[in-house]
Amino acid sequence: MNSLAFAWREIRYAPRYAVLFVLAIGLGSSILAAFAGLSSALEKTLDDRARELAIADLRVEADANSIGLLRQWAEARWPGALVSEKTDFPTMARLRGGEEVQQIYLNAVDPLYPLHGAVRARDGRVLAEVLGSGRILVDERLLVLTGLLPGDTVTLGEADVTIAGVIGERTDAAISFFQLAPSVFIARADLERTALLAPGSRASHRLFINLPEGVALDAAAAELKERAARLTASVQSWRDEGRGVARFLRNTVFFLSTTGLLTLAMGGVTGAAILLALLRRAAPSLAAARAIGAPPSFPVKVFAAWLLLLSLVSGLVATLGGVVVGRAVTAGLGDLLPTGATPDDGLGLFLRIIASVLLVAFIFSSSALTRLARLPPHAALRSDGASLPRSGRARRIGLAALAAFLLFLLVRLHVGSFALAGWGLGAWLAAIGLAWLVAALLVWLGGRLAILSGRVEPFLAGREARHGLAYRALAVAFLGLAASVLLSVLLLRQNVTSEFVRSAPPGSPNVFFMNLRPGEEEVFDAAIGAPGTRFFPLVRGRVITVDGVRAAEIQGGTENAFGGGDRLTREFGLTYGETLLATDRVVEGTALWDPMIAGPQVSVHDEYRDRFGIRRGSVIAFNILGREFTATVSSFRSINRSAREPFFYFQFKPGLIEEMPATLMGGVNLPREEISQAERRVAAALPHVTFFDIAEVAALVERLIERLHRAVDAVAAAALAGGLLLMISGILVNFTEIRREAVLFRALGASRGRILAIFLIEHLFSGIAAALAAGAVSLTLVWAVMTHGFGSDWDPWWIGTLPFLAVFALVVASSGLLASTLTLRVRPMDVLRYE
Amino acid sequence: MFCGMSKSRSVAALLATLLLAACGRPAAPPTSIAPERAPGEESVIVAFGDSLTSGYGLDDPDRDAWPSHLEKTLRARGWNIRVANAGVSGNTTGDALVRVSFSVPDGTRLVIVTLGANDTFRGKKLDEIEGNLDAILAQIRTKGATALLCEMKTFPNLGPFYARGFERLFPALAKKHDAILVPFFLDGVATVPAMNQADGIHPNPAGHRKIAENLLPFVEKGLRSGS
Repeated sequence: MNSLAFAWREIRYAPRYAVLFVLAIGLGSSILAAFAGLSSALEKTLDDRARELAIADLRVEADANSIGLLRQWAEARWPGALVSEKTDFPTMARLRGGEEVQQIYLNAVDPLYPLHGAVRARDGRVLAEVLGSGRILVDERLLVLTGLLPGDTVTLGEADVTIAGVIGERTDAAISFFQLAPSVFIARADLERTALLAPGSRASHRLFINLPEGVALDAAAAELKERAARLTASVQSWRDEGRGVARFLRNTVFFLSTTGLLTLAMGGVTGAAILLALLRRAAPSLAAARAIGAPPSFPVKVFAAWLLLLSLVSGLVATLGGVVVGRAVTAGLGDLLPTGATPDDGLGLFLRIIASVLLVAFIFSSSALTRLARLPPHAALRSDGASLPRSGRARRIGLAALAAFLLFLLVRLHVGSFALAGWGLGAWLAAIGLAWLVAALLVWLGGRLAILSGRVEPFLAGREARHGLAYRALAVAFLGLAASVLLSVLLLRQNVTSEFVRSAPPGSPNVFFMNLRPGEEEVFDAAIGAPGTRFFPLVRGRVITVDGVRAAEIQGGTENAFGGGDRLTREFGLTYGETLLATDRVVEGTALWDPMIAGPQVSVHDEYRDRFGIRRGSVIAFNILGREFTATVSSFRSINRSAREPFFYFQFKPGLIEEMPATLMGGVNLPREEISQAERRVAAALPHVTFFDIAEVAALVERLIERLHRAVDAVAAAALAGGLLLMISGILVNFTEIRREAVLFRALGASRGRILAIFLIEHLFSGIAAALAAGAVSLTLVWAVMTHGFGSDWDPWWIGTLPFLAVFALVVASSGLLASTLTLRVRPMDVLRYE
Repeated sequence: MFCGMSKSRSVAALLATLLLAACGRPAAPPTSIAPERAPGEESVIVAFGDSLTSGYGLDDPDRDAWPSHLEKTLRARGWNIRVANAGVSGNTTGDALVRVSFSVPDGTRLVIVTLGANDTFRGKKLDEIEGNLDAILAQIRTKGATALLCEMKTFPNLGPFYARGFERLFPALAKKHDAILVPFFLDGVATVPAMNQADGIHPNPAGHRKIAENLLPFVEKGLRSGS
């Protein structure tokens, strides 16, 4: 019989092994392949978005003179570069030629603006088509606030201009996030006629540069920065725009990459486990073939053929799965992806997957195959898979190193990053080591305790467990790894989702207001048409001393959590209230307020405890609206500042500052189409109220998050399926061993009940040990990913983690028990014949 | 009152004047060489304004903002004066109106009003600004304090129509409330890079010293008139 026919025979005799192998390898490869296609598209989109946010490859801010000098220099330095200028400032538009004025934010641009992205009128015209000859493009807010219409004339400085269109789309809004006034675009050529720019005018001047092909961005940015430093100008490249939404996107890509890596590793480990199980099952037949004259290479050839056949089938399954998963994720991500970007689903995908599958199969089966090469003919006399000969130490180390290197190359091929590949591989190896260590320790301890218990069943179970400690620990670690993959994916999904929810909880405010006066709440609610707004009292104040030390002398650095300048001597928005705000939690102190403190109390953001050394019981002197007050620190609060909610470094206990003339601030969620009208009504009823509309940016963030959420769920579900396959294969690996033990007990005269009791204790113990190993591995892994990879807080999610581990332990115990029950049906003689 | 001043105080005042002159700053007007009020119970001046008063962006506003410089200079010149910094960054005249009775305690001798810049940044209507300043000055009068109304200018980019209307408000209001009008108190500071922080709007320590110098003669005039 040739090796191919023998392999086919093995597949026909053990179809469930073949099916599991195909599913495991196919699923792992398909997810990674599908995502690998999307990952590059997603990365490209992120880069495109960052360019749009930045408006150009390079952006310079300086005074008008410096901008002119830098423009000349840049055009000479990089011939062929696209260059555009923008001058923007607030001004007062005079309406209808009369006394009525309205503040606007005037953006004077040239025809090339913006160099990346677009500003379009509602009718689709780009800026260059709208502006010029006294024509302006205006934000709809201006029309709503003033009652003006397209075609009307307004006076800007000394010039009359005509409203020629309404802004329909603009990708440059990010650099004017908190503009209070409606935006108006005007051609730079028309700006001179307004005479608004004169010595003393307060305006921003910006220069935008798109580099010609072949010029490296970072080098050009460095060169420009060096040149600009002499002119006190600031330079930013589009790569510097890496905050906010971009951070979210990159974190999500990182999550998908991590999940892809886990799934790939799962597929490989599952394949190896199934191969091991099959080897144990087929070892007698192969040994028999060797006994009747087959060469030593015969078993290797058989399994090489077996692997090849199943890998090809797995490749087909993975290609199909890759197309399906890729399409699903593409649909979920929607316009996050560039137009027309879809994952490969042709020959390229198939070849990539086949290559991956063969590589994975080789990496995870090479060790077992080398053992086969040394299979002695007398192995035919045993059914114990453990009797497969072991390779020499040097050979094993060499193979492990080769497998690790190939795995590294494979991961690099899919995730496109050497660093990530290195970290992924390292984390996976560390996880295997940790799982084995925890499992070995627990098996040894459990076995020892069981033997010491003095009862027959635990004694026998413990003896069994300790008998082959290394093998048993490996089996438990294997189950633990399977569970850790499942738990890690669940935990990662939970943490990523929490981050999404923290940043944009349902109903988050998209409009903020300030300077409302106490007693005006009802008028405000009526004006915006949304009752129930939450108002926060606000009084401005400064810290003068802490425990008698002047605030200016307390060193604490100048970087705040947002990367901006900060110091204890700056002014703060102080609030008061009896209870914690929804975004806060007390991290030091028994409660927000301390009943032991007599007199005024203040609760402080924990960041200031850490940075400025403020302690509970410290006495802080404040200058509040020109008058001095002291309060004792009662507690420290951690604040979730990702949420779109007002937050306060200092919260006072009622009794001190509520008698002061506070204003009210807050946020409210309004339908986008109603915001301009609501703003107009508020301006009419309460002209002193300042209104911030961030709906456009908020809606963009929410849309992105919703889509990312769907993509995360899709990939997590697929990875979970992979984890389940891994668990099933883990149980299959042990099946032969369980059967042998059951037969031995029966042959020795044990009753069925006693055997089942022994197995129940043994498998329950294995389940608990595997669950603990899984908990240790997954919590460590997810902690590392969230804190170091995402740079974010992490949540162990005990409410989900502990039930998961408990259920897992029970599943392992009951499935082991079920397998044991099945083995009791086997006639002892059929097995003992081989012993 | 000059005659009531101790010898040591007049020496200190003279030294302070000479020191200022040595630093290249103009000396105070001759009429202000010495106070006309005898030291006794400490008087309070309230610096009532916005970020230009609070010392926004300074490392040590309690030391470097102009109210501190003014207090030091006045003390050096013999006045027993405390200058309370009641500047709040971002305050418009509307915000300030809400807190004027709190920030200006009873018994305050002089209130220096430096408001209006944030109103123009936010495009507040001129009649609204005028109404708020009118009410603030009225409350200060009710408290029995002397008001110094500091004239504010707008940036040219806000347009000539708005700028003219805004700048006309101050003389008219000062006259109406019998307040001392301080001509543009940022004179020599606004648009001078060496006097401002990187944002070009907020004075640096040197700018704050210059503001205190600008205000000094008018403050002393107010103190004398209220004595």
